[in-house]
Amino acid sequence: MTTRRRFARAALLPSMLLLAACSTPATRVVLLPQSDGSPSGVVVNTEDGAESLSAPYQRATAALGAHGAPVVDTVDPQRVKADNAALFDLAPAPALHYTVYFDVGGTTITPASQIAMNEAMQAALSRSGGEIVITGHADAVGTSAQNDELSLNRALRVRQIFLERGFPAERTEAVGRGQRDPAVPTPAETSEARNRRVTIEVR
Amino acid sequence: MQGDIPRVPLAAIRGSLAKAVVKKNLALAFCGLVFVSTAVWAQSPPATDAAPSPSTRLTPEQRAGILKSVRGDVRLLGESGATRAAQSGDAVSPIDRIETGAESGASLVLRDGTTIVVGPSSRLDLKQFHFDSTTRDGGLLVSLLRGSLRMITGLIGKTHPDAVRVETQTAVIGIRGTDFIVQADPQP
Repeated sequence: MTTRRRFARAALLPSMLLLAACSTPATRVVLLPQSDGSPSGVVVNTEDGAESLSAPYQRATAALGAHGAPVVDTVDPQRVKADNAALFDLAPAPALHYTVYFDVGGTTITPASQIAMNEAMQAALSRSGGEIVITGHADAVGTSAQNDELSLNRALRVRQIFLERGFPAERTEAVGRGQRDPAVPTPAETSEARNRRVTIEVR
Repeated sequence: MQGDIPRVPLAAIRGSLAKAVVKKNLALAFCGLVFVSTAVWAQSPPATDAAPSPSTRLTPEQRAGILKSVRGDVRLLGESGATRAAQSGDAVSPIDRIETGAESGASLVLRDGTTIVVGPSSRLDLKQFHFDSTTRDGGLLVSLLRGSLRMITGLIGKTHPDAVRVETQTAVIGIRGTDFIVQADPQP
């Protein structure tokens, strides 16, 4: 193949793109499947219409200046992945979750939880831009305001351990969820060790 | 209870779309120009500032999220107008612009777990982000000015799906707990 022919072929590509961009300046929205297979959806609103996408790989196209609702069709999954490779290649790995429990009295972390913290730290350090979100939880003893504070203090204590081990503070967040997310549902004012915990999310 | 994001009034959306429609004919005339200037822009060197940016030291409450993967030419523009080269691990503020060059891209995870991947030759404004991690109330408004994005919604999308929106020049996208792609052609 001559250099000139190769050049000619390469030169074709931008002009085709130009044509595509010129003829239909548009917004295209493609719904992807949820990783857990659960149903999802988006609503695409334009100036004078709206369309819902509820099945994976449905696409809504809203062209600039077009009248009416967006046009819906279905796209080939392989084509979507090939055309948007960066959007798939660069997606971060799913978050990892760990749980830390406290001994009775709530001040020391159990040995098994120490191991979980080590694993979380290693996982966070091995990720690009890895961060650790530490969420404290309380059982249903006390008022919800007290439990918000108590659970935040639990989270801050675990966060402090990560910081002492050298994890960068600006990539951590401590959250107190109070009694909103019990691991084991209980009636009010019930002491439950399994709910006095800190969950760790590595992103 | 609803998210406390100020709702984008549909009238306002319609107003801006109407303006866009008026520009339709102009759009066709300027399209080639836009493409050329896009190419030039993509090749121009980024305004590099290697010094650690102030926003990497934001407290969790001040930042919107953290950059994960960064590929190629990716820049963050703060509210002040200062541009810096983005690196993985950088904090992104609630009002930041992310710009990517050709064959470049970036991903970030917002504090509520929403994942955004920005494709090549894109410009994305994070116009509004607020999130109370205790109650999980919050709101998110993203504007894709050109290029492509993929969004995997997080906790705000779960608790207040109405408070999550993605807008482009021609459409406003509302979500229902979701993973989706948006592509927006260059603005005419």
